[in-house]
Amino acid sequence: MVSLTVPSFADTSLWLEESKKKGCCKGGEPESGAKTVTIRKGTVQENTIVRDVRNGVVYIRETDNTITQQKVTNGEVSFTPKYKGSYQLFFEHKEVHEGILEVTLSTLRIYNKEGEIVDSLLKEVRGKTHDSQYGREPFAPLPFDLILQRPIKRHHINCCLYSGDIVPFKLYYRGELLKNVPLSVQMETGWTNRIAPSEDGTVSFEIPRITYPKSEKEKKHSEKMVVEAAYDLNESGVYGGEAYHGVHYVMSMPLSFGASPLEYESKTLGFATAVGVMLVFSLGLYYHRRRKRKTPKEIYFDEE
Amino acid sequence: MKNKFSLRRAVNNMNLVRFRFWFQIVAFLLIVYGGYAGLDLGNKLPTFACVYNSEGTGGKCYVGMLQHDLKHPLETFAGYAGYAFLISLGMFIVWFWVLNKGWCGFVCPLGTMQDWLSMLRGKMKIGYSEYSWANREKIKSVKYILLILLLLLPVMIANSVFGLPKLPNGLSMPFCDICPGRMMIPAFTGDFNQFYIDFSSKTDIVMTTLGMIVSGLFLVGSFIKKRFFCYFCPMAALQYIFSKPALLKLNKEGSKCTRCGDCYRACDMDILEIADDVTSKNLVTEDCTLCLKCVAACPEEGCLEAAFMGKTIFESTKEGFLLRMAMDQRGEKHGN
Repeated sequence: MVSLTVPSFADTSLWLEESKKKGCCKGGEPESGAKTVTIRKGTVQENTIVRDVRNGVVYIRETDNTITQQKVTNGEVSFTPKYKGSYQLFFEHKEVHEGILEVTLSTLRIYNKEGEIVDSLLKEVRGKTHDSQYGREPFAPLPFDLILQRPIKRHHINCCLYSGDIVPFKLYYRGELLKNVPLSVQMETGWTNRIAPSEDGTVSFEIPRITYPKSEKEKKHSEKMVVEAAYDLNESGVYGGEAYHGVHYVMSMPLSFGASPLEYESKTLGFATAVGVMLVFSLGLYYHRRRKRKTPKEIYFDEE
Repeated sequence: MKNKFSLRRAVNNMNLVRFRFWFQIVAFLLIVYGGYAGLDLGNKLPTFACVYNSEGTGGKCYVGMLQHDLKHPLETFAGYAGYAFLISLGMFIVWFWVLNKGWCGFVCPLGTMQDWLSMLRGKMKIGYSEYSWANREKIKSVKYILLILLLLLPVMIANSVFGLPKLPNGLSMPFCDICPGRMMIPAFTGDFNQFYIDFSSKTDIVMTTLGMIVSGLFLVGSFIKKRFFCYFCPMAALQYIFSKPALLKLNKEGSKCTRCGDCYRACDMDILEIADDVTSKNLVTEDCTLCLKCVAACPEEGCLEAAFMGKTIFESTKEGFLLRMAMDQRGEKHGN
């Protein structure tokens, strides 16, 4: 028997967050390419690093699909990506609480801009033209997975997410698509919502356009959000010497998005400029030709 | 031996315009829509395969990659980014050497669009325009100025050059901002989102407005002037730097040239040297698109030839010239 619950963001589960480097270099020397990811708990607005995560494991899926595993130490995980490209991280934490096995999962995509040239020589030679951050395969070591599909956009920038984009998600349990699991969304601005799935199991929502620039300098403002899904199973067993009679999975995915380019771009004016230039150029040519008869393209090369 | 001779004769007598028309259509389909069929030729192509045609593109233009590669602080450029730049440049050169400037004449989607617009003008029986000889040298230099700017501006975003302040990030892809391919190529997949003016910063306003102006000029200019944009193309300038050792060549046997000027009159780029220069063997100039119309229009036996790795693949013959003249009289286009 399966039952569904929608998580409350008052006690949001754990999620992963990349610690951003400040500046590119230290003392004129390039920093090592190490990435640090912290485990966070709380709301998107107010959260803390969870330092005492016991049994927490982070799986790192590299660009060539090899998987490495790291234990969480002092609420963080550090690794040095070898290649340039996308790295998908998966956090897993299990504990039995009041007879329920609580499996807390989180996933995060990190893009590594630099890599060892010797290792990535072939990749550089080949070049990369298609991004693979959307619609990835379910991650086999984890039973429950939340996957972001290609967003639907009304503007021209494809690399990132923006307010107004429609973001579709799919949920999988042991590789099978779940068609009746809702999502919870929480924005940095405090907006939260519960999103019901469509008939084909896709859960999608439009990133709310509440991020209008506050000032002239903040037109390219960005914001964080966390998407979360929960799934309960009536399964019994023993974990870490403790018996349980149900399993509660929670999977979270932190994302960030910017203010929609549509908020500071004008297509009408773009078209009007192009058409205006065409009209002026055409009329100029027309009158130029009327004034001056075109001379034929005639040069005699045999005359010295 | 006889078969080989016949094949050569058939190639020399071919209707070049028809061959090129269909070759361009196939190349256009692969570059503009190839991505939908999973084609991915990488991101170092020596032709305008637009990065902004995100899903349809069958590969990506090297000019975009070049600007991206150069936007690194000197410290990073001295390491990984520098290697990446050299590898990318190397791959671009390898791709380019296969077809030489034939990338422009046979593959470039922007060039193909210009040829289609010229064809439309021809069908509408509207006369073409030419640049005046007085302005031609100035026009030639525009492509080099654009090339220098597209190389310099990304460097100046990440570094303080000569103590000058760093440039705003809005100039990170300066040529892509004004390239008409950004607007025109996605439009062929139904995506008109690139027609916009960005008001997020002063730099973006200027660059995107320039982009719209260049698009308008491109459409009208290509309609009335054959290969209008190719005169200003920084890709052509970049290609020319590496064109000497390329595998495909346009050769001329000066002793056979009568300087009749047919080749010049057939040339979309008005290259005077093709008719006037009887001393040089390699006639791939900075503006040449290797469309081979000059070879098709030449009446002298073996005077002009296209050679791949030293082997002649298409050459001017009297028979070919007469056959194409006959096609012209029947109303078929043959090469002029």
